[in-house]
Amino acid sequence: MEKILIVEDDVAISDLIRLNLEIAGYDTRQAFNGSEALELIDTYAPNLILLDVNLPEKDGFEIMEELESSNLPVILLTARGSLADKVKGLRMGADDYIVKPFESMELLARIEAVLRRYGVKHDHLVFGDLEINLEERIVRSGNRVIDLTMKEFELLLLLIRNKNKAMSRERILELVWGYEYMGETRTVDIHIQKIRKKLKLEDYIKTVYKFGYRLEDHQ
Amino acid sequence: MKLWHKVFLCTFLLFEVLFNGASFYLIEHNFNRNLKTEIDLGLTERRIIASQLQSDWSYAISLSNNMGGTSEDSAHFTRNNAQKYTRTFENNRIFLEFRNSAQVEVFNNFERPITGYRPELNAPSSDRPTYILRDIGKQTYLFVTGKLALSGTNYTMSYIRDISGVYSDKSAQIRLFFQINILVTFILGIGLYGVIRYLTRSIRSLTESAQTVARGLYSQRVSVHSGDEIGILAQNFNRMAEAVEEKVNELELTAMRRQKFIEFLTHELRTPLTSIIGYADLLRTTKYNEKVFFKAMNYIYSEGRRLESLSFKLMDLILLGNEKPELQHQDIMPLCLEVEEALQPRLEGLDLTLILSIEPYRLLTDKDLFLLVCTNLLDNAIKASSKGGRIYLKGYLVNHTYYAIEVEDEGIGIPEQDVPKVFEPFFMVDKVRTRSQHGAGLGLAICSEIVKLHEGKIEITSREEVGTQVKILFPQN
Repeated sequence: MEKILIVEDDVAISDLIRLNLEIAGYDTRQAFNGSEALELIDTYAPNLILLDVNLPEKDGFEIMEELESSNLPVILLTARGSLADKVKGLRMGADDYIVKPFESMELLARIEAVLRRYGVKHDHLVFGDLEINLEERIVRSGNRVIDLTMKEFELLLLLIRNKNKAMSRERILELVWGYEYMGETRTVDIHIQKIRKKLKLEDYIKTVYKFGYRLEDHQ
Repeated sequence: MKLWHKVFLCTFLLFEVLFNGASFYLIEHNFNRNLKTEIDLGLTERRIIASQLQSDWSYAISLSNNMGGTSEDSAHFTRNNAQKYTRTFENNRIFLEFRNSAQVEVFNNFERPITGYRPELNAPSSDRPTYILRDIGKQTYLFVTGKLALSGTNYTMSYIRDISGVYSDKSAQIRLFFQINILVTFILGIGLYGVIRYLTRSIRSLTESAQTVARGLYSQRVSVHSGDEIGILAQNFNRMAEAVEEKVNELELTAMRRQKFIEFLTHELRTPLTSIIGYADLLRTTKYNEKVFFKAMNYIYSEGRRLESLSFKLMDLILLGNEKPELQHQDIMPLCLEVEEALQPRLEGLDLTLILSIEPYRLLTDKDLFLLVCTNLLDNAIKASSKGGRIYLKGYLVNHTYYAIEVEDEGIGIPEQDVPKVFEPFFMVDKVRTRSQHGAGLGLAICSEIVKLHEGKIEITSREEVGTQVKILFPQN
């Protein structure tokens, strides 16, 4: 399990991030000020840091200065939409930034992207007995390769990456098909049916009433 | 056209016109006088020669009568003697011509042949000799012509005088004048240029400064120290630049403060919104989990309260900025009691004691603003205090010039380096603590605005872990 350190002084937001990351299957720790953060970086040795810029004691930039040599991936959380802050953060070696208020889906996607870039996240996902190789774009069930169309593959990937979270039909359409299909949510329903059948996920992909779908892993 | 060009050209042209006019007038005047002198001389000399000739002739006649010789021929006599008269005067410039009544030339020693019409010969009808000026060749001659009677024979006697000298003098003077004029023009040009450039240098430096200021460098000043009009203009310019600089700095400061305020406000709005939206989304999209559900609900509630409190405080601040309230004399005792009553539930809940010691007084204030100040200060005191603490609200006269409202607590205090910042909007000494109590960081900013409206003073003294004392001094009218 990848370890993520959340450095955020607002308890509410910190807890929110923690809950979202835990649902997505990450191990997390929280730091509420600069010195706590530096301590946890040593003792907890996280794979990635979510770093708020505005911090008591030591601000995010000061922490980044101390991290310079460690080659730890950092995603900046910033409430200010100010361009100067973003540029400064990226110059100082931040791998990405995310502006509050943010959606958890966006946060997870960015974390995954950064982790993959650092080689922490492997290029295959596992769900139950399904193994998905991202590079070869192949889905195996045991030793059997299951044929999926491109959209089916993308849809499966999206559901696994956001497992245990309900996704609205509109959001799925937007993320898998792009904006031009907006409105035709029937497409989503048809593809979900196909995946359920092909991968025998009937018990796992739940329909959320009047909303969308959720992939549950029965933990 | 630049000013110095104009001054230069005007001065130069005016001088040239006057100088030339005066010089030509002088030359002309001089010439006329010389000419008149020559004419007078000519007239006199002709008279002298004529009377000399007449007296010589009468002498010659009487002599020949006495000698009993042949009678003299006046024409012959004239022919023989005329030459010598001219010698009496400047003989190379004076000539004589005699003609008899039949206009036949009797004597002529004039150096040039006279051709053409001779107006001077027609003139003498009376006995008075007349004169005329004629140009012959390159020379100018004065002809004085008159009748001469020698023993009954009438002659026309012309006295001719070369007066070219007068004209050549005139042209020599004009030549000299032109030479002098060129020299004077040259010197005048250089001199004028220097003087005008020197006198207008302050205008140039003024212009440069004005351009610099216009480019946005408001600290630019002119260094003109003369006492003339330009000096005064420069002083006024400096004063104006100073006023502009002050105003611009003030505006920049205001704009900066506003910018900072908006940045902080955005942050303060986004943080609770991030939580509320985030938790709501979490609940909406995940399977029900009791622990997560209550946690999320709590956060949504408390962050919502935080937004609510922020919006109330912002309303207060906006209202304060909008209108100047009408201050009236208020009995402050009931106001203080009202505040105490309003806060009582919170005080009891936290096991805090509020101790009032108010000197009764009628204070010039606005009821709502006064309540707002007291509530904000006491609110801060409550947030800083720990369970069982005491809070004091005092009101007393200071030197009969101020009425002081003082709030004192025994709470966590403010670190020394943070004391100057506490009046800044959104500044929080302890962010986590303030937020956990739904604070927005606007209380003291609001208080200081209200104090400004009363033209009063606000003082704060604090020691960490000992307590904080905030004193507001309301001026007595």
